[in-house]
Amino acid sequence: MVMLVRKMIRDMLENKLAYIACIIVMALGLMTYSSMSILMENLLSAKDNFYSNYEMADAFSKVQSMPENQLNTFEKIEGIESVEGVLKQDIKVYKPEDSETGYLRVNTYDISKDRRLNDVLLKEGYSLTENGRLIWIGEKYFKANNLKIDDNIDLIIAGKVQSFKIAGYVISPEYVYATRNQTDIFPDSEHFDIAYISENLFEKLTGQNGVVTDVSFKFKEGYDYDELKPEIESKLKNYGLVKLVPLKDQSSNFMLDSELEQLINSSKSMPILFLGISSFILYIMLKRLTEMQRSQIGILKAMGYSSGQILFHYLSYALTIGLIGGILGGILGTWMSRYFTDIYKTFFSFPILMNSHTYKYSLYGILISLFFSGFAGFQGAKRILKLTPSMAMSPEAPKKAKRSSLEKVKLIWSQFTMQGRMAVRNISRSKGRSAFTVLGLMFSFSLMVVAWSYNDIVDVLIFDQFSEVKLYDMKVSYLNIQPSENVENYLYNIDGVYYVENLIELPVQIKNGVNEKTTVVIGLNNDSKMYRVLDKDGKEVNLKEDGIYLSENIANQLEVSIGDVLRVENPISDEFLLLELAGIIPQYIGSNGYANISYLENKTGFNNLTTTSYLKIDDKKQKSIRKELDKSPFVGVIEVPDESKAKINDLLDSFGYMNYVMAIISVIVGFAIVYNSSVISLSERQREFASLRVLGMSVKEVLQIVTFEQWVLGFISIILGIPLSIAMMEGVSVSYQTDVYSFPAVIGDNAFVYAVLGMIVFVVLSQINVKRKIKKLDIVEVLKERE
Amino acid sequence: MTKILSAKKLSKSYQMGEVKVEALKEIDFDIYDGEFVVVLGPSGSGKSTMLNMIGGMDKASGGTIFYKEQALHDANDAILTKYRREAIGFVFQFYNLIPNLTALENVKLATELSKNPLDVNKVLEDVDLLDRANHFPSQLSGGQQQRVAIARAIAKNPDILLCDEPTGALDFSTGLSVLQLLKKFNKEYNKTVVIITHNAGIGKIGDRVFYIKDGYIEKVVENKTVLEPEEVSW
Repeated sequence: MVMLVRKMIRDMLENKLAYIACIIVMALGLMTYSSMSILMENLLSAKDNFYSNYEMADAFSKVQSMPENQLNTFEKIEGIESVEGVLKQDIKVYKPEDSETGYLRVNTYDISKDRRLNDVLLKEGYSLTENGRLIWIGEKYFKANNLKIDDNIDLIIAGKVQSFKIAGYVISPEYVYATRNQTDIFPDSEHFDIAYISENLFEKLTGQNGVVTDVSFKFKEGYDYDELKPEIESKLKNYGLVKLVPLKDQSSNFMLDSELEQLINSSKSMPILFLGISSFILYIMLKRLTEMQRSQIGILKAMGYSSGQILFHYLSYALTIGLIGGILGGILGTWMSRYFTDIYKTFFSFPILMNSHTYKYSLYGILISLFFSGFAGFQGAKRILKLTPSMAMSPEAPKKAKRSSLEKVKLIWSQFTMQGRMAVRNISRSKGRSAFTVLGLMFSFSLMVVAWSYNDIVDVLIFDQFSEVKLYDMKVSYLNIQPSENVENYLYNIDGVYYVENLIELPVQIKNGVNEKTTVVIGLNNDSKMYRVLDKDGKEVNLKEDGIYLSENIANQLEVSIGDVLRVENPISDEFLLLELAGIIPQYIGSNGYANISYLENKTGFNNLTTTSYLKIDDKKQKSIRKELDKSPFVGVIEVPDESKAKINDLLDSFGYMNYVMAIISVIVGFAIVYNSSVISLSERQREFASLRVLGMSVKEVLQIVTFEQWVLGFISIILGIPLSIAMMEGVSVSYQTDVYSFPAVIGDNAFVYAVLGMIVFVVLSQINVKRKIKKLDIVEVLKERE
Repeated sequence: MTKILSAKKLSKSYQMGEVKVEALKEIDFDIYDGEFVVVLGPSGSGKSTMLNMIGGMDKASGGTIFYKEQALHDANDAILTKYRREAIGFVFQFYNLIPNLTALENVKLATELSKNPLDVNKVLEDVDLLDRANHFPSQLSGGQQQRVAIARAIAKNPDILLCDEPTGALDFSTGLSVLQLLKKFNKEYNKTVVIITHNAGIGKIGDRVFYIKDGYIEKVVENKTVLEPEEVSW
């Protein structure tokens, strides 16, 4: 079979561009598969090790305040192995020279204990002691701020500046992904991280002796959250339960799991997409190849090669592509996984996040690509099995020439030149090839539309939040609920504050049957000038006083629709509330509930109270306002949308290359398809073109037949590609939906224009190639050959 | 002489749309080991169908055909493939070389299948193409391509060489050299050669001539004097 291998290599080299395009698409598919899979495995093993070695809890709760000595009452609950309570507080870092406030989520650390739930890994430094004001800082903050061990750090605790010595930097399984709140999508290590101070010292400084705010639980084997929840919950309610969540909903773990889920999705869907495209190309190529080499198949059969041997010969074209694509994709993927792992290291804190060099997935990838290419090749070449040698040796009967339906429209038909008529007839005669070209072009058109929509998606996803939704200059959250009037007086007295709007951010647990969701309901003034709730069309929603509104994401997860009555629990009132769902809001980042503030006040019975204020301020006085707010003992977190926007912008810039990658892929796919179909059409019709040349047609006139065909098919593809693009965008949107963000199905303003331009480029490029080939056509030789 | 092929009431019909075409109508013939047979007939007479039957390229619609003891008329694909592989060498009017393989590689393509192939270089030398061994078909003339095709058929060392209009696409002198080669193979290797042609002149070089017309064997003539190719014209 050595000779057949040589034949294959030479056949492939003859049409190398087409095969290379196929290899690239296949390699891209397997690159995503192996890189994502390796990354997923790395993250998963890092997570499992960290969680088990540092005793990550099974459930987490936040209460307003609970005496530490009550903790052991939980241990008596059947099924609970251990309980851990800490005092936790977001503390401002005192850095007068900095424009943006940094926060540390300070946890108390019981130095007398050997084992703790959610324990801390001291990466470098020394132990905390009873004496001396020592603090451990989160590793990412420590590094982002260029701190050194034994440096001093100043914190504002209970309105006073307190100085600490940094004893070391740490990581904790509870904060693998450390964000300050749910609306932060990315960790901001320069301004937020965790910190640990010995329990006694922190209690003394805050004046909260013997009190905990965060209680976590480890379950005995065989017990699960749903089983133990009612008892834990009823006990916690006595201490102002804010939130009780199982491990899967714990914020850091949730982000990590979402990321893993995303990786699993991508590692499945992307390769299928790419392998699907390349298999499709391979199928058509093999089908055409076996048609074109019909008499060669005949001679091989006549010589005594069995159908199986010949089939395998043609399959080997596909398998070679699959093998090269698989190996290339595997190597690239393994290499890319190291780069991706490095990116993940900037977001996630693990003791070890290995860039493991497993080639296991490369091997799987090769097997997958062999399967796909083998299947496509078999489908394309299986007709060999049916051909008897005598049939194969005789030329295929010419296709029936029929009048195309367009010819019935005499008015149009009479306008066509002879070349135009030939082109139209050829399209309708070669339905399979025309359909392939249209399908392929539609696909690459849609891919281009999706790629060029990226920037607009980002705009809707993120920047609209700032320009359309969050209209305030500054958001101030309080440590406890405050009387509205007091807060307003206080804020208006600060120089530079123009306007204050109070609102309630109410942490709630919403239930609908077995579905349960923890979120924050934002209670807004009906005429809020600072925060606009927008519907799908970007129009402002007037929050009615007869129910709450939920983000689409939450509504979907709870499986509720407008008009349903929801059972809502909150830490302020002991009784649960029954609230009607008045509307569903598209929200791309975070998931919230919304309500009219008077409706919320009505239902909770707490009037004129506030948890948060939106401010309009004099930009020039931002720094002094902030300083003033930092002094206040009841101000918790200060957020400036402009700063968040700038940070997200920076981060997205580094991911912006993604749309170029997609655009390049769509160009490769589009080109591969147009090029292949024109090459196939050319080799099938050599005799026809040579005859036309003999009749006296110029190269240009012959080319017109092919170009006319391609423009017609291109036009049809664009028309059909528009609905496909919209469907594809919807698909992308659905597959990338997570709890934290959802992907808007938005098509960019110029995306269609760019995609049409892209199509024009493919057609022109392939026409240049066809022209070159027609010019090179040896008329005499071609006509001499037997059909 | 030993009978190598034997057909009884062999028939073949094709369905063309609504019309049934009877290409071979219950023909009987025997072919002997080492014989040089010429099948003569105008186009459409059924001679190519006969070649397909003899070569195991197609199955009969009726009757029997045996290669030695092996029945071909009801043989399955595997048996027919083995038969073509081991017993038959084909030479076609349009050479049918694999364009992407050189002359030498085209010959090797056949020998790779054979259990006792002839020496490839020797065969190429016999057809006087050793110096062109590494040329691709497109770099060879029609006559050279046909000689490669003959080399390819011979090199497998088959019992029967089946040639379908082997001179059909060639000028007289090139055709002559092709016939000389076939004759040489018949004599030197003592192999059976069956040539199918519409050229009556070629009939004179065969031991026997089958005249075929409208799907029947009209007559079988044994040449009393067998001429050499250079003695005939067509």
